[in-house]
Amino acid sequence: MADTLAQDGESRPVIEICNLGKWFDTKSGRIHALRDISLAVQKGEIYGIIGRSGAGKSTLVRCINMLERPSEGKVLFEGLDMGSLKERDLNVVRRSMGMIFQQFNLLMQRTALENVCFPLELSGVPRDKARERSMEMLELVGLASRAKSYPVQLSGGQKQRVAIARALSTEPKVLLCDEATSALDPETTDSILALIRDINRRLGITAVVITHEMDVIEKICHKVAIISKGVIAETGTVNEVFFHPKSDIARRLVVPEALHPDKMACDKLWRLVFDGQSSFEPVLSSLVLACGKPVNIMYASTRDIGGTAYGQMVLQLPEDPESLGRILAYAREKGLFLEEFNHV
Amino acid sequence: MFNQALFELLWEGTVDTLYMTLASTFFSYVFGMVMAVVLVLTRADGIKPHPVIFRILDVVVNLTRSFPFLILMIAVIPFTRWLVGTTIGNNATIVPLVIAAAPFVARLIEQSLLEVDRGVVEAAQSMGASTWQLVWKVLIPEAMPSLINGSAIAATTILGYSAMSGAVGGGGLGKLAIMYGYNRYQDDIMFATVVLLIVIVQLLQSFGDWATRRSDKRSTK
Repeated sequence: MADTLAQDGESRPVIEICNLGKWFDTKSGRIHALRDISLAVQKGEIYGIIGRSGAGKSTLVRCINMLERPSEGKVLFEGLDMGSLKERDLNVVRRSMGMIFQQFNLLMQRTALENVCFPLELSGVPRDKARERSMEMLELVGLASRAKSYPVQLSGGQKQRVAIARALSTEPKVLLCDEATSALDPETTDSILALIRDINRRLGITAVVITHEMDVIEKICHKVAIISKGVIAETGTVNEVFFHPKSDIARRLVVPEALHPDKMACDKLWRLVFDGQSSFEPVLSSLVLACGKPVNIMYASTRDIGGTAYGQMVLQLPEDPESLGRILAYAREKGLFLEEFNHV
Repeated sequence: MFNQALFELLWEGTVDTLYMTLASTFFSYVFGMVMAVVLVLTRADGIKPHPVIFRILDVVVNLTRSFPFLILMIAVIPFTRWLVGTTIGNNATIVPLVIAAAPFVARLIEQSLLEVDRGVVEAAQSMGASTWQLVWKVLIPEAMPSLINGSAIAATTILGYSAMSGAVGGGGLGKLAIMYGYNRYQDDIMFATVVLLIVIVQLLQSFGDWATRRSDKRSTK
């Protein structure tokens, strides 16, 4: 059966979520956590799912490996309907899906090595073999020297590395990451993200990354789904969403929180995005010179999206229609992406 | 004051008390563990929610716990006679002790198991752990320090119960205290049994504390 699945897997997505809904019945009535979610994750992709807390993204990732049972709709893993599996079969399939968590969730009474051995132990791998494999995994995440340490003796970043080694020890096809970097400081976050990207490239493992930070999406994801109030607001490649956010929630996500119009005194802001090529040119100076009017830079940053540098600026432009018209015409001519984003 | 005969009497009482306490604790843990695991698994937010089983077991545990031990001991006399053939002596005391202590132990174990981080259980589930594996490889090992700590509490409580059983035919230090101290006004024997009971409780508790610390890998030391 495994062989036919693998063959089918070439053409179809590794994970396919079809019209998934999840609701909870509480005393105060039915609460819809997710509604009509459909998305497809292709083999080898890092697929980001972003949303604010309470948007339902954690519930969604838990529906993929049936930690949460969907109320309606289907989850297909390599064409296999996860919801239809018997418990015993589900447990076997779950071994093909590693998962890491915000709080790491290591077994506190086991050493790092014993933690990595744990999933192998569950699937009945002989002890010696399990230890050997686990040591390799700890080497992969750069923690072989801490094999005998207990979780309490490790830093947050080290704990997450152990958790990643543990998730990979059964050679899964998919790695599910539930806010895996949210409890870590920025530097550690970067190193864990680099590790996930490295694993994705070297081992070809498909990853689903749940986060509330656009930064995480931009750094490692190929595709992104933006989820808001339990529904998918927008999906696309990270590039598409970054350049041409279609939904309000996407527009808010691509610029820092502090710049959101409700927090700024001025009423009209513009967002200028340029790719690695045009960032060699003095874009803004040329624009100012061409139009003869000063502009106010509220925010500027360079972002690394999928390995390419992109620049982003938030500007306050002159109010009078004539100057504005000239600026917009210039931007169009130069192929710059300039968009008003106040109407969020 | 302390002659050879008295010393032997107290020694025998101590051995009997320890025997009853440890044997009862052991059997209470056998039954208590089963009940606790079922309670933890079947509760509403448990791994295998089952409201009916949970409710029934929950009520049974509460009912048994609300029985005063002395009354329970008398009430189960027919059962004790059927099981061990007699209603006096150490082995006869173990029966009501286990019946009284098992639900209490079940609550202690239940509390310990509930302390295990849900996230860790979820992680194990995501790796494909069966319910049985979750119990044996996650819940119990992760709760071990707390379980050991609880067992010291259970043993000292059972020790107290065993002394009470001296009133209705049980053996050990409780019997000595009642026979000599209460019925014959021999205050020295009464005093000696109290001291011995205190020493045993202290030893049990210290051993429990030591074993708890030793087993816990969460302390940085």
